[in-house]
Amino acid sequence: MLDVESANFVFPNEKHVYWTVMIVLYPYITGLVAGAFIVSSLYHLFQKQELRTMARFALVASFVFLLFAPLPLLMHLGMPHRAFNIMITPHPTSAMAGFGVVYLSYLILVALEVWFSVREDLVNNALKGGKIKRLIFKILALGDLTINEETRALDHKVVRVLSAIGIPLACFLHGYVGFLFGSIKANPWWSTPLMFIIFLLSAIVSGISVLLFLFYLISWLRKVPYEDGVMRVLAGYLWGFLIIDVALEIMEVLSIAYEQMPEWQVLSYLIWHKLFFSYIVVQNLIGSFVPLILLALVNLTRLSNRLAHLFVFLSSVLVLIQVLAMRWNVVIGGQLLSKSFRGFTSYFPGLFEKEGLITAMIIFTIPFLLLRWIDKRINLFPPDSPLGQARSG
Amino acid sequence: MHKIEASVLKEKYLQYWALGICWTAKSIFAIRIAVFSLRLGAMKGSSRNAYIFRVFVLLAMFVTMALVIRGLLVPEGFGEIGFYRPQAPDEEASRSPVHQGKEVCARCHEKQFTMHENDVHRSVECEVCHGNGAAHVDARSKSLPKEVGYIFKELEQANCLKCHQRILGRPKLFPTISVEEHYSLVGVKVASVVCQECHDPHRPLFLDKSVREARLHPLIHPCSDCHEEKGIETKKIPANHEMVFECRYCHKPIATDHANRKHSFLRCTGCHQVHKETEFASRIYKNSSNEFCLMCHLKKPFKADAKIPMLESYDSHLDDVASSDADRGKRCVDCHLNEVIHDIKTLPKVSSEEVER
Amino acid sequence: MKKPMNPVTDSFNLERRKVLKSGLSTVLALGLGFFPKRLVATLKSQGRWYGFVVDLTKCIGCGACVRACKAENNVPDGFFRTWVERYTFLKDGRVIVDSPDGALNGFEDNPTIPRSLIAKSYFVPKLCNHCTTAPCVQVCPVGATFVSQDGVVLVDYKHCIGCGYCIQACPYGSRFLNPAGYADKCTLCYHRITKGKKPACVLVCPVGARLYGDLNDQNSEINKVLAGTRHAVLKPELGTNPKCFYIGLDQEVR
Repeated sequence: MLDVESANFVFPNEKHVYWTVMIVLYPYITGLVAGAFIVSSLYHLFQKQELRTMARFALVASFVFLLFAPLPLLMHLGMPHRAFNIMITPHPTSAMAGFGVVYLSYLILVALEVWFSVREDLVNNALKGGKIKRLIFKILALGDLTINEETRALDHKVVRVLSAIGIPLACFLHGYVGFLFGSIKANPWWSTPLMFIIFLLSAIVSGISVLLFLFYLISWLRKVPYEDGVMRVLAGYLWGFLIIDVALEIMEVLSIAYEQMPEWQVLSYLIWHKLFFSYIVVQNLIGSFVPLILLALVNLTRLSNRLAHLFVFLSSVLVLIQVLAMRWNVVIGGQLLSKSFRGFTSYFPGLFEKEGLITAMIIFTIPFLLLRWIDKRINLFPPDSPLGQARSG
Repeated sequence: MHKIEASVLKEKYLQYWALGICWTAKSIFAIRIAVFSLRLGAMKGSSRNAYIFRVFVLLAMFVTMALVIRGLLVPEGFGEIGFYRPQAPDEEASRSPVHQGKEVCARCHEKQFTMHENDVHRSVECEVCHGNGAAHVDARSKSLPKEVGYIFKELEQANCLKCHQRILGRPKLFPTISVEEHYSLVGVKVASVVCQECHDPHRPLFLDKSVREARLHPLIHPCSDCHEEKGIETKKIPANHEMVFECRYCHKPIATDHANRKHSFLRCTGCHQVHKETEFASRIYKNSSNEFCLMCHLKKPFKADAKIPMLESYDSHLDDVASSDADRGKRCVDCHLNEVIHDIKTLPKVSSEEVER
Repeated sequence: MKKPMNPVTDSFNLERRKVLKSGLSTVLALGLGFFPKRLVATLKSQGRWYGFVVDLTKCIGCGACVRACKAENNVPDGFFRTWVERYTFLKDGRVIVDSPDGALNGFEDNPTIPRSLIAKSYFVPKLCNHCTTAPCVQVCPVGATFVSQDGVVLVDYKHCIGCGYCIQACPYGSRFLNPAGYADKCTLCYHRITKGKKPACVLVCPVGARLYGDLNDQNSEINKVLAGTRHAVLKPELGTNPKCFYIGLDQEVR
């Protein structure tokens, strides 16, 4: 019988929570990467023409998030100056060692895809402007400034090929994180074969949501009417993936509860007491249930475009919160629970520490600022789209 | 299964075979890389594909450089005996031990060591009470001044009670006390008196010989070891109850006699030291050293009056009663056993007919 | 209709294909370079193979082992390479476990539990179980923790990056992150046992509740004890194959 109130016991070494909010942030950011990449591939590979406006933006957003993804990990490492050990001596039996190869190869792939995708703009910038600017862009364009139908066709073909290779690689990039948690037999909150796919699906869902959110934000800032096509397609995909994601998440917990597995006693206390607000309220009620309803209304009923936009925007915000809550519940929740199955520890991230909330917020904000900076130099939206034309410079 | 076996010959053969494969693969790899780069460089792309070609070259250069740098940075010998740096176990093993062990202490502190080895604290390492001796041994071996590496042990009740306090969870056969009860029993009226006033930590029970030389005895487990309630004495042991023995079950005549003498309030094991040897057997003997008796019977300032008959001084007692030098060398029990403890002169040796269940 | 031949692009394609093929085969060669060595390493274990025994019927919960380990290995405050737990079984079925500061200063009686409610109580010393198929070794991303050739699970402090994965993977709570930035845990006092001395905790235990030895040596004391007692390991269902055996282990101990 579990009697946490009178007899809370954790192993002496478990009082500290070692994987902090930085480790919550890393899968969140790589989730945005994977999701944004999938959206861009929906256009480049699967030819969803409605997403043409968002395609390049999604790709560059994916790249920028990817650049900053290792930052929370570096903040967390006890020996950050040895961080490259993971690429020098990667242990083949360790899921975490996959980071080295997967991250690097995916970085190269997305960099290449971005390069091929913006090459024409690089060349255009290399042909006008100041001397230094022209030189920089000439180097970026690798010295070859030919633009014609053939190169355009070649560029598109390369982007398509890279998109195709990129999708399984993106699945790997985010799936390995899920597997990293799911393969830990010592922790009953983490150990499940479904973790790989749950993380992947929530990554896709978060990526679509962040793109929707940015789409609405930028359209609002540039005073451009919201494109219905983008909204309809993305709302459809978001809804579909969200259903599967939430279903798998619920099923995983439900099966342990139904089978009355021995760890259920302590897991149910974790869910209903320790994680009540973040899991039941934020992740499930507000973050899953409400968006599912809103998106069902958008996708299944004939709503006016205005209302649909509102619902989709709300859903995207709620889903972003849901995915963050899910990462928190998995990472932190799993460590609150003692492996003695007899108690819980507690965790507060602190504000100004190396792994505190302020650092987390800074790390999370920088990619968005960088995206804005890039957009000022290279048009991230097609020039013939309303968003592309209304650049605020 | 806790060991993995392999014959030496088979292992050596596999080792060489494996190393052979490794080196062949490595050289093939190195040659391939070189050829690959050369072919890339010689590739003639048409001018339309120049940038594609340059991308490829950049990529190839990056990958090659990454692999080369990685190869240079891999720690020496990594992976040869396992996926770790082979120097690591030796680095760990080369640390200096901190605890010395009692044999090292014995080199200088022979007197205490001999006392210690013959009494019940022989299983307690010196460093448990005195702290680890690394600094002390180091300073003494270098003949540094006495203050350097000086070990001192505070005489505090709490130190003894770390092991001997009666707290929840301690096995029943381990000697534990509650200070109030113990002091009340032996007539100590000041609760803060330290244990060392009566017990020498190196010779806590003043055993006159090592228990290891004592005879084997079944493991006795009196009812009172677990049951605090009085009057539990019954010979009808309930079903599934651990087999317990009160001394009087086998030693009835002497136990009955003891019950009528002055020391009747003491358990037999108070003087007959029992030390558990295995799960089922112990060693037992009568402790008859004088210091042992004097622990209770010598007057000390913190002891209550008139609880137990106490001597003002042992020497003056001997002056009173001893008529010769031989007498002065006797043990307390030589004169006082039969009258106040139990009379062994007149009682027959125990026989099997007298053993009751 | 066949496509007209273009000598330039065709030769280019041909060359490109050849180059790609050679690239693939180099990767294959690279892969082969890694495997055979490790295969041999796992077969090699004919020397010592250390194990540990904890006798729960003897432990008195004095905490001497915790203090000795801390002194011997410079264990930082608040972290433990070994610790002692006390299990108290109440008559109403509840089990209360406590380990005040890892038993660094021993135990005290808990005044809130009425004596009459207590069915039984005993102490359980815990330490790294030095598993044969240690999950911590499996998950280390850089090869900084490993099972040595004599069966001791060690950490290479110079290679560890401090990611903390091994700490999450250990089912027994034996590992911790040293504030200096690397993972740390009981090393079975490797620096002592390789010189023929006992680990500090084994040395100082006043009642002989801890024992270590060579499981490969048929005449060692540890093998005699294991042959003569009924013992168990912690969390056998996880398949870690621990080499720390507990005499008198209760199912309630996790």
